[in-house]
Amino acid sequence: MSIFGKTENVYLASPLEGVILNEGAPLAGTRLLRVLSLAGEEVLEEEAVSDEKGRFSFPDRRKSIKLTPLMELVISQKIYVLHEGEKNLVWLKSKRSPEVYSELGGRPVNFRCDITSPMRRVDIGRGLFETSCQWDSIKSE
Amino acid sequence: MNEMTPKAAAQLADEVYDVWDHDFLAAYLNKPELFGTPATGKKLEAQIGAMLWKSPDAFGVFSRGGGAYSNDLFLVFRGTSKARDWLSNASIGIEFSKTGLPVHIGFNQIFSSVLAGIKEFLAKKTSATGTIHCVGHSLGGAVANLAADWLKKNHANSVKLYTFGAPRPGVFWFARTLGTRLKEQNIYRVYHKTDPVPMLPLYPFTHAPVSNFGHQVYSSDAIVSAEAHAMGRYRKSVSQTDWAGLHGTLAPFHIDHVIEQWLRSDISPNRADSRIWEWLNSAIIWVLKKVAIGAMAVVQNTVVGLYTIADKLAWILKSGIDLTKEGGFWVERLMRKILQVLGMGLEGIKSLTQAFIRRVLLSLMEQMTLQARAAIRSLFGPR
Repeated sequence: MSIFGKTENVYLASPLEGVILNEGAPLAGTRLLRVLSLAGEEVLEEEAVSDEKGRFSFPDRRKSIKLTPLMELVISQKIYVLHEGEKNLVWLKSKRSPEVYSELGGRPVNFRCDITSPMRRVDIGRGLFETSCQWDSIKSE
Repeated sequence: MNEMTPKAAAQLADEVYDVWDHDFLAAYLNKPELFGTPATGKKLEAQIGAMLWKSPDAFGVFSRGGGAYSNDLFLVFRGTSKARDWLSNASIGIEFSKTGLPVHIGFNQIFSSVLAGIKEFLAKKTSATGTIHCVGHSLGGAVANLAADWLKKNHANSVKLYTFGAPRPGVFWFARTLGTRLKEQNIYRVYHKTDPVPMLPLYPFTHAPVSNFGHQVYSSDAIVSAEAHAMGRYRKSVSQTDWAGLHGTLAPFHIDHVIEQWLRSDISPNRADSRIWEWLNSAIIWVLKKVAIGAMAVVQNTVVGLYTIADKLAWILKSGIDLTKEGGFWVERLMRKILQVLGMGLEGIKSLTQAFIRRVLLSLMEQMTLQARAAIRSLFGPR
């Protein structure tokens, strides 16, 4: 109940593994860029490259933050696929809670992003969320 | 009646915190029920017709509506992390708003910083003759109050105001004029009764609408709690209800003879009561009315700074003591209650000098501000 809060490990991003596709075919050796920011200010950029089967992964990113009950925690996540000189936004998410996997409510199964799919609005929990990626199910952790 | 549902208004007030750039702005506007069919792909930038206005202290998202709201405009506000000290004592004072009404100095300055953006947006949207919806949570709600007042004064459109956990933006004169301008049924003031922020600042600051108690939502906390201010909590609270289901209720401290009994009683007030600040606020108003007819008008005059407000209140109360024996009795009872709530000793209460009254009032204002500031400071996280 204290308004002074406690320091917590906040997941700026949960681990993410998936496959990158172009019209259903795996895209090998493709660069992906993940951009994270906290309260619109601190920016962390990192790249991943897909393997021969189009598989890519981003590790989790954590930060020690003093959280209080009143804090409007806002973590912005963007993932771009860099393909043929184009920067394709495939993931746009405002993460509003500190827990791991709070983006999707769990770990996605068979996560895949096709750069030809359109972005769509997804309503899972709080925070704006648009993505062109798909998944079969969500595994609770 | 082109009103938004509580759920839609709360979603706008919450998700505006997510908007930092054009990508998030586009996602924010992807609400077909309010903004129509969203533009897609590369055409987005050109078609959006919406604006993200950034000032150091506040953000505003301005957009034309779509679908059933195609003739309407939406102005949604939020404070920024830089604006964390807006409840500091230094920023509490009264000055005239752009429409000539006495309002909170801090909120007025922040509103002034977004006004240029509002004007720029409206200049492009002259064909929208429908309702202008002003929305905001917390500081954003205070800014939305001032924006609604300015818009109605300067434009023919009808204006609706939706706020969640907003502080008191101006004095009674402002609140009453805003209610008259907009019509009070167009003001949707949502608050949890345990949220400390809507309890601030103390009298002479007043909420609009003045003739009812706004839209109070249930909160499970027994005492004043910072959690009750969080926008996520407000979203949950209003998700299943319509406006009719959110009517505020008459509280005991709104009733004159209950306040009179409370002041008379020798029982020490319950410091943990979630509405203790509201009891004191009502008691101050009650005693001011009792001791000096016309005092209310004096306090509502423009004064700069918290210290000046305390000076003015202390002067009126002291004058009340000097005028009648009865006045002295009520001021003494009021001071006693305040000291008990603050956990301070009752020494000094016998003499009741103007300096003493001023000191007690300042301690009260500082204590309330401290409580809410700690809460507000944390709204935007560390740093």
